[in-house]
Amino acid sequence: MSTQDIPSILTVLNSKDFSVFQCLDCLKKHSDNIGIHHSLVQKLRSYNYDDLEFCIPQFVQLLVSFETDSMALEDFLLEYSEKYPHFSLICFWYLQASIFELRNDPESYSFQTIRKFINKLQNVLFNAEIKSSKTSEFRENLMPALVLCATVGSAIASPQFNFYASSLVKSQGRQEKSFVFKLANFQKALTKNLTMKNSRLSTEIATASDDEDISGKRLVNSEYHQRSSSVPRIPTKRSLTLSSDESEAYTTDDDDKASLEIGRERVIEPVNVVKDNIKLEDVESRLKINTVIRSKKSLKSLNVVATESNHRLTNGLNTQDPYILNTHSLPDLSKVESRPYISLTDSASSLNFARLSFGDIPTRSNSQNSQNRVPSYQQLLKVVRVNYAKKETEFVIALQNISVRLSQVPKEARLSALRAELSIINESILPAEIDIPQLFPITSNKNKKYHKILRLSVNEACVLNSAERVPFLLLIEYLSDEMDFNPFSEHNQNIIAKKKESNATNTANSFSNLPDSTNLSNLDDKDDIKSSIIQVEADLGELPMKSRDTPIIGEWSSDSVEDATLRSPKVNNEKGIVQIVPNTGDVSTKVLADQMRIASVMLQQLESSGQSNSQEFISIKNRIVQSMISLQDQFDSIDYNKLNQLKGDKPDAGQRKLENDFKLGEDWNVKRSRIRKSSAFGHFPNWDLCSVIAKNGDDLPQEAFACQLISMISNIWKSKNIGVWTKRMKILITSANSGLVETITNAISIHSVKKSLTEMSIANGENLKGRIFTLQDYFEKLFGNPDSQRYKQAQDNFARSLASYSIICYILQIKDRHNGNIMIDDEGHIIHIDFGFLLSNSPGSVGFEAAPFKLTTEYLDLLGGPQGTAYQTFVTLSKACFRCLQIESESIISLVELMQKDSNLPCFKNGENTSVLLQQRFQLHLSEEETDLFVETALIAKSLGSMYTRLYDQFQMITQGIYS
Amino acid sequence: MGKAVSKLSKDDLKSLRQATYFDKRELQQWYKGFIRDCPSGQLSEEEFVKVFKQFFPFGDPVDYCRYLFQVFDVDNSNYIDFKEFIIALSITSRGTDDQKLSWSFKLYDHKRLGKISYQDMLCIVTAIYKMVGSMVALPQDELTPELRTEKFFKLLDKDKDKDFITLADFKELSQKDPSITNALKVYEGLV
Repeated sequence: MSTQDIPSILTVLNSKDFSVFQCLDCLKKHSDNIGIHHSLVQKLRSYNYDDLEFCIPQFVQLLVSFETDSMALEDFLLEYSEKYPHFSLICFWYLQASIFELRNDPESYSFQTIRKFINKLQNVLFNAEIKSSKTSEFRENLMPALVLCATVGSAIASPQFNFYASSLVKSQGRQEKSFVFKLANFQKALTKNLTMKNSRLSTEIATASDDEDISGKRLVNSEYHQRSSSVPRIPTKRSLTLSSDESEAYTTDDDDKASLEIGRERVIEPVNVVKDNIKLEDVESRLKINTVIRSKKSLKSLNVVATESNHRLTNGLNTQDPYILNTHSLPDLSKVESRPYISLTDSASSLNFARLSFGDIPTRSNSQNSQNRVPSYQQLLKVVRVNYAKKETEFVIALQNISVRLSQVPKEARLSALRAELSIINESILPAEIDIPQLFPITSNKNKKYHKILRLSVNEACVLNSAERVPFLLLIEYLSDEMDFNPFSEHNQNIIAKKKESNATNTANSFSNLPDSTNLSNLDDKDDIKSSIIQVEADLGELPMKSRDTPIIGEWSSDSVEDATLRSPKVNNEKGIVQIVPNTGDVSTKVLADQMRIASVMLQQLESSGQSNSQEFISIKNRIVQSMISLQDQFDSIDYNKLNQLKGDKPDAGQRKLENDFKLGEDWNVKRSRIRKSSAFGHFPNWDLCSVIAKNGDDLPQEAFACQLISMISNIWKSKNIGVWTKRMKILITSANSGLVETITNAISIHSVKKSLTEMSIANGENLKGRIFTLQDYFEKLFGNPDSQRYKQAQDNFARSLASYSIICYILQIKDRHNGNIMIDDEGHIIHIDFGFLLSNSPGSVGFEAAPFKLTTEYLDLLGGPQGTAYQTFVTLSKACFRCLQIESESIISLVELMQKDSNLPCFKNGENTSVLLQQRFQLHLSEEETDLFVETALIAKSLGSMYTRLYDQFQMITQGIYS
Repeated sequence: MGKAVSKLSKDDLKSLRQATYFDKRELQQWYKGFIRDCPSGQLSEEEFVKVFKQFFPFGDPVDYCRYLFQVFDVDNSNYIDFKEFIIALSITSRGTDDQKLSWSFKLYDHKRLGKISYQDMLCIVTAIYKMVGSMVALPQDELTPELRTEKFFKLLDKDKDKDFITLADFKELSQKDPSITNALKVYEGLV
């Protein structure tokens, strides 16, 4: 940034067209100036909520990878999290994913920042107590303190100015700075693209050398990065500081200054040695206390108590602020093994203990929360919100765990295991005051009601493929626009009343008169809620060290199944197995589900018993699996015969499957009404059904990012009325390697189309030569005669969607475009799915797919040949799409630039070059006519003639059995 | 004080406890923060300006900082040390309105005459306007530093060409204009 830019920022900032993406771009560039950063964040508040929710991944990325002294963005995110339930959850999940990525680098700026922020956010999400004194915190921060003085001085001359400055002062005053200075991104800087960074660095130095502000920032940063003795000493101090914060390079025009700073460091070092020795002693003993989530006030009071005692020990050396201690809890994570976030039961007891031993010292939080006080609207609202957040996270974690468990079960038993698990969720969690952010249809009405999940359709759920990861399809029954967060609605009053009850009992049981809120685990009356929260915590706690793949076998045996399962691994005698075989008459779902879990555990133990080859083993295994399969259809409350009746009386199940397969669009509505009829909740007028896929795997964040880019491009075209069609897929990230994916309910992959049509015709004896069916065959089958209006409409739909996806595939370099990843919907639209390869990565080393995008002769035929109207539509729209994107390219490029920084996603494997190459693909140097020509020849003609595409399809046919 | 040491000495603590509204713990805490953010323990005017550039990037804070720095730098050492800082912070954050006004009077009375002329006042108002830039919407009769300064004299029934403003006038001014009192109280209870 150079100084002359600043007034122009102000002009742009105030212009009407300043989009949220431009704002993100500016936030990225101006993280080094507190004032600008605050103004930009203030601007964010002027955008509509949906746009901001869309950008949550970017906000998290800004927080993680762009070091700043400004508190503005954090404040903004917390403010919106407090206001909007979905915002807080999506933020929370993205942050969890982020911190998981950083788990090997716990001393980095990024990790520290996120950890602190997650703690604050958890307080918003899960702590029902309202921090009354939140705004009155002003920490020992020199800069805002100086400005505070300055504004008092200017109060006479310009009182208005004070009101502008005070928000900045207050926000910055709250900043919680560490007293131990760490090297941000140190390891990353070493391991990742060192040379690339250095070259970029030098260019940045060059551009920044005439900048006055840089030196100011440099001062701050150099101070910030001074290491204490607890961090290993590294000789090249200067270069380290550079790598830790590339944008704040030392400039050479100011040598005496730099040496002065080094001199200062020397002065301060011995001081730190002393400080740290003292602190480290205490850290261990305090870790438990420090890592618990709870109100800052109680933290403070507790630590004051702790400090007091410690004070004597350390000879009155230092009265330490609790927050310093807090910052120290992290470097010592290793000492608590893998659980820095202690489970709530632990934390509660440690709190009790602390209060017990220092019980006579009054604490501020106690006096603030007398039980008799009438709770305010805000407090009640918080109770309802916390209830939502807890149940929502519990639900999502339950789904995540299913995937993990399924992967440990033999393939043939997975469906029954899945159904068992889902019915347990139905029993234990649902119906509940939860929804699924982003994936459920957006409510139409303005007074912002939320959907409410009723139950999972157990018998409709299915395991999607047999890969190592086990995604599964879920049909979720919900009531649309059912709930809100009004604490005075009848339903919410009940929730609040329940809370109070449980609080009352808990308080009675605890040692002292604890205010409810310090004891998070007591907030809920249900045991399973408690355990779920613990899981949230444990999830975070696992991050730094534990490998992800630690089996969760223990959880299989939780609760009621406990005794039955683990008592004897040798339960492999006849009796043990016979017991699982259902007595279909009157077994409850719960019992069935438990039996299923027992069976699964037995299977696992068999596997691990080391006799997997023995005859006995195989026969036992088969029996267990068989018994599980026999159970799989019995989890729902509905009568299975009735279900079959409802399904219709087609005789041949396999045949029906095929039929269903390619009439999926129609089937969705049929399915929906069938499920509605059989559902106990079906009579509610606002009953609805939503289909999602629960997925595990670390490729989900990239998929989500790809979908975000596609939605963004699609929005650009829509705003310019280009007339193309794109499916805006939604993916909800719920952790670093799990998420929920929207299901496209009315479409089928081209592969399936071809496979089913071909196989069906062969089975019917109509296709003796084994001809593979074409898309055109499918269209005729679905939409009738090519001259009919219906067919023409479908053809037009195909052209409009093909144009948009073609340009998207070229611009974003979406690869792996075989027919299993391309779908056709019931209106003829083409839909691309599966974005494992885009921007800078491509599948394997096989250099197929060199064409700009996939445009086969089959597509051309479907479009009516080169002279066909549909083909002309396709060409014209492709051109329009491309030209439109050229104009808006900046926001797309800057989004990629933002996300690629320090990213581990495979699509950013080219590092900083990713966005450079992206920019080149936009061909911004071409005139309009040249662009049209480029699209026509370099893109369309080249793609059409490409033998690479054909080769790739053949390759897929041969290797994967995917129809070309 | 001069050199940075790990914590305040007993004597410093004692004198600062008398001179400020902060208790022992707060003083040590602020001292630590001061040393963290300014490791030399001495804040130069140049560094002072940089702080304000961070907060007011859209304007030019240099002039205002020069005047303000002098108010901080009681001993004219050309550096702000912790003692000077904490005393100023004590007054501005926890002081009474009168204390705040007396403190800021020193800013406007940069010639140290005990009274402020139109020109003296104009210097400061101009510097503030320069620092803020266009970030604040101003009422019509305060659009320029001149208008704003004239308004003071009018409010006090004074002739801008020959009268002076005294500390007593300052207090009167703050009573006549509630937004001033409000501005003085913005941080009450915060620090």
